[in-house]
Amino acid sequence: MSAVAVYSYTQSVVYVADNILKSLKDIIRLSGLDPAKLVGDWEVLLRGISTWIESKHLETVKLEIYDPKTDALITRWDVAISYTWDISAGVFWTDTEQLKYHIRKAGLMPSEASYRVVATNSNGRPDVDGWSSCGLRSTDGMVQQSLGATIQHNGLGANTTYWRKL
Amino acid sequence: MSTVASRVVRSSPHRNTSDTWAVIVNLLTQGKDGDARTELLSVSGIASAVIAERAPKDSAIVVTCDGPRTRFYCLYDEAAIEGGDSKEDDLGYEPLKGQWAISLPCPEDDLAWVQRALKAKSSRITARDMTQKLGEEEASKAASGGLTLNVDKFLKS
Repeated sequence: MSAVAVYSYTQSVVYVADNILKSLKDIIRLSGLDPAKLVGDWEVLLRGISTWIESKHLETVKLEIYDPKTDALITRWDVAISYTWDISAGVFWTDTEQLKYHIRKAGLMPSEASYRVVATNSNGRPDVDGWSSCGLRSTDGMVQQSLGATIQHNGLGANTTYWRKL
Repeated sequence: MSTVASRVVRSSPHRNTSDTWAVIVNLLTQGKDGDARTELLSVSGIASAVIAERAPKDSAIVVTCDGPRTRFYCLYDEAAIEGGDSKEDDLGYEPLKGQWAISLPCPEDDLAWVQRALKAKSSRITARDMTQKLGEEEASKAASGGLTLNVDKFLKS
C-alpha cells in the first residue's frame, strides 16, 4: 500500500520560508561574503517571513548588498512570493543549482561590502517583533535579471531576480 | 564502548529550522535554564542554517559528555509530516553532564564559515564535514552485530 502525504498551507509556508533564508545564505556565501550576520538574525527573519507569508502580505524579500562607505547599492537579490497554493499540486522543490549558476554569473562582491534583508509587504501586514520600517537603496543605472521560480511548495513559491549595473 | 542514545526530530515542513533546534535544545537541557541553554541558544541561527541544509538527515548531531553519548537526526518532507519514525521523548539521563561538547554535521561548502561563526560563540559547539561520521559507523556496526543471524549456530541448535 502506498500513501501520499497531504501538506497544509502552514507546512508549505514553513518549507518556503526556510528555503528563502537558505537561498539568501547561499547568495551571501557564494558572493564571497560572510553569512554570520544573516544567521545571527535567522530567528527574527524567519518569524517575519513566515508570519507575512501565512497572512499573505509578503510581496518580496530583498537582499541588498551595498558599499558601507558610500551606502550605494552594489547589487540586489529579490525573492518575490507567488501565492498560487493548491493542496492537490503535490510538488515541492528548491532549485539550488540554478541559483548557484546565477550567483557565480553575478560575480564576487568586494570583501568590504555589507548586506541587509528587507521585506516589502502589502497594506495591513501584522507587526512582527524585531522588524522596523526602512527605505530601499536606489537601483538607478541597474537592470533586473530574472531566474524564474527557485522555490516551490504546492504552488506557494518564490521567483528570484537580481539587479546588476548596466 | 560508551552508551549511545538517539533521538529523531521532525523538521521541515512539520516545524521550521529554528523550532527544530529549539526542540533539540529542550531535550539536551531537559527544559532547564542555565549556562548550557544560553550557550546552545547563542548558536541557534548557525544550527538552523545547518538544519536547513538537511545535514542532520543522514549525519548525526553528536553530543558527548561525562555520561552517555547522544545522537540527533532530523526528518524532512513526508517523513517529517507522517512522523512515524520520529523519537522525541525525553532522555533518561543528563545529556550535558560534566564536560560536554556538540559536533554539528555540515556540508563541505559551508564548513569554513560555520566553524568560524561557531568559534565566535562557543568553544564546546563545533562543526565537522557531514561525511565524517564521528563514531556513528562503529555504533551502527555494533548495533547490527547484535542482530546478525549466526547460521552455523542456528543450524546446530
